[in-house]
Amino acid sequence: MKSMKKILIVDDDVDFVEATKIVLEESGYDVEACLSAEACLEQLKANVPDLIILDVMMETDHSGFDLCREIKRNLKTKEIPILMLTAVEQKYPMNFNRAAGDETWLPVDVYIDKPVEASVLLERINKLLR
Amino acid sequence: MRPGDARSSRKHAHVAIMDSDRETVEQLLKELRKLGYKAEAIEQTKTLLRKVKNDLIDVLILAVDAWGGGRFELIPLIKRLNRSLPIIATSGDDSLETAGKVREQGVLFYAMKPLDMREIDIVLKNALARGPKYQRPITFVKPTRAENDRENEILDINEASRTLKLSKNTLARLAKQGEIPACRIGNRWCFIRNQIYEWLRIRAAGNQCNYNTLILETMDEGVAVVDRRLKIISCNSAYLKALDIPRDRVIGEPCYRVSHRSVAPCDEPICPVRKAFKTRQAVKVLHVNYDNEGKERYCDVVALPIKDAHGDITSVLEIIRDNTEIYNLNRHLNGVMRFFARESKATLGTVMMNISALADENLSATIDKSKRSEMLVSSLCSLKLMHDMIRNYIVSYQVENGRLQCNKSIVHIADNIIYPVIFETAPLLRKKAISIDTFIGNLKPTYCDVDLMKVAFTDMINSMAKYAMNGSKIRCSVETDGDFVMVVSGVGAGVPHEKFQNLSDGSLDVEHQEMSDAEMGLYIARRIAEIHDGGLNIETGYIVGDQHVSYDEFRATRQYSHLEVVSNTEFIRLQLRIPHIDVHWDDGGDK
Repeated sequence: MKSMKKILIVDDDVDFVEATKIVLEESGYDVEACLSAEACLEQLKANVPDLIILDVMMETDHSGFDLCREIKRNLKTKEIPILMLTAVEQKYPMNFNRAAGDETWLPVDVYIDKPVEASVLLERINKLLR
Repeated sequence: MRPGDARSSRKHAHVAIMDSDRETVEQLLKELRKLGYKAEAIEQTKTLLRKVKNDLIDVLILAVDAWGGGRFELIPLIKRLNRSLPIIATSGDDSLETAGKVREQGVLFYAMKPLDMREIDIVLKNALARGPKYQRPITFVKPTRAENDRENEILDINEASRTLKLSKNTLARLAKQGEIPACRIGNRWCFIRNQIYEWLRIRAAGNQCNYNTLILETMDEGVAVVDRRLKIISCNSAYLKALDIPRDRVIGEPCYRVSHRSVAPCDEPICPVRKAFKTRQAVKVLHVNYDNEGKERYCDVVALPIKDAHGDITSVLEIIRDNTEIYNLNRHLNGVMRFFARESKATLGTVMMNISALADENLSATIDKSKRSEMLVSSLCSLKLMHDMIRNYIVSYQVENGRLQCNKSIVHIADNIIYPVIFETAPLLRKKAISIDTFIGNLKPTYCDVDLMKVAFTDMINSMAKYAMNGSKIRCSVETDGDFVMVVSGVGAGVPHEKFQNLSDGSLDVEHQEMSDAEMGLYIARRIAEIHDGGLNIETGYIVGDQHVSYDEFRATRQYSHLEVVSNTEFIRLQLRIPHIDVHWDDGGDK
């Protein structure tokens, strides 16, 4: 039997995590969640997921940016695809989508602005995990 | 200062202590409170700076060796926020190097540990005697009716002579020549107080006679002429109106005292008048002035140097453009933008995820029925919270701009407020499996604005639901015990101390801070209570055994120092109280 792909959601918004978890679980993924960047780093020591969905504004306004660089610097976790899902653009009006993929500044595989429709999110996840 | 004065100034003086040495802090708190000061310990730099900025501290006792040293670097920052705040620096490090560094920062006193309380008390008394708050009040009071009458008072020649500091003969001569406004009744000269002040003002303008004054009066903006000693020698009515000060309290006064309510001139780089004298050029800066009620006024100040016949700069024309309304509007728009940025992240993100999944036929078919219902309830709750937050923003805007209307009527609190709000918040409470126990005591009809009170109660329940533990119970009691009292309490997990601290000391700045929905809600509830001449009391802390201990008490009391903080034993108690007015139901009594 093919094992379920593991997705780790890192977001401090409990309601959003719950909603996304239902959608992903019902679509056949094994989902875990962390409510902070710090908790995510702890979690990664024990379990390496197949994909990380990452918010930006958590403990600080830039927690997610720091975390994705940290993940990509670590040999154990650098291959994990990161999907950045955030509303940071509302606060800092910059073109983060264009910066996504820059190894130094924003080493994420996909950047999506919140809010996002469930089907769009699933499509991007499926593509990343194909 | 008389002994009584010292005592009374102590009673009102707010002394803040910042030190990592718990023993010293406790000792200081105990001794200072015994001496009659209002003393408090501050641990976080952020809290300290906020309180300094909001002028909530009269004297600061700062341990420069705290938290591993280097605290003296805070002093310039503190001075920038409030340069008149007296700072007593303390340290256990007796090196000359540290003493030198600290002294360089301009502290009032440098005390070595262990502290001598007699010495500290003397320094505090000196600091308070120097402080503007404890000197002759310099805040100008809006003229009352009695003062207006005084301005129109008729003076005889003796009083006018004393007022103008001119001899009676000179005054009589000037009156006879028609140089000063006066009238002769019988054989006596009579003067009207505000007319002779006006004459004095024109005279103070020197050789420029009335022309300058007339020219100034043609300008819509507040304009003053300031001499080299920074004293105002002339001004127009718009200037007086902008600052809400009578003319006789402006002419001859230093400009910083009038416009900034400050006892010292501004530093040269930020003072346009001093800069204009120095550079001989026109200067424009943004200044924060204060009106009679102590409210900030954001003004563009333009200083234009005036040359005399020899080309020397003898005075500067200061033009004040009050941009407070524009500034406030921008500030409010920024607040609204920040709010929507946050909400699109949180609330709309959740709603979009849930609803889009349910609306997608393929996806929805894979989701279990109970989970579908859960997603709908979650979306409903998010939208309800968003609605409440938008309403709170609108109310806060109305409050800040004095546009909030309070339409009071006789209200049955239980039927019109308590039960409808509990019904509306039911999905939110159900989502967190929180139950609510309602106790309706001896409740009399209350005279209040039913809509505003519903907003206040909703905000109290929302805040409680946000911080209460899943599966916990909220207790809500309502009764009339002389006043009308509504108490909502619950046991929560991780109530952020800082957020409630901000609300508890009443220093919350709605537009400057990144306010959370719970803070905003409680701020609105408090303002609604205040509009009804009441108040909102917020208590939060730890439950130790069967005791409810506030955060401050917990930290300051030695008996709790060995206890570990357990995150899920925290409590919140919100008490809204408004005065009860004896009224009767039109329909014949309480329901």
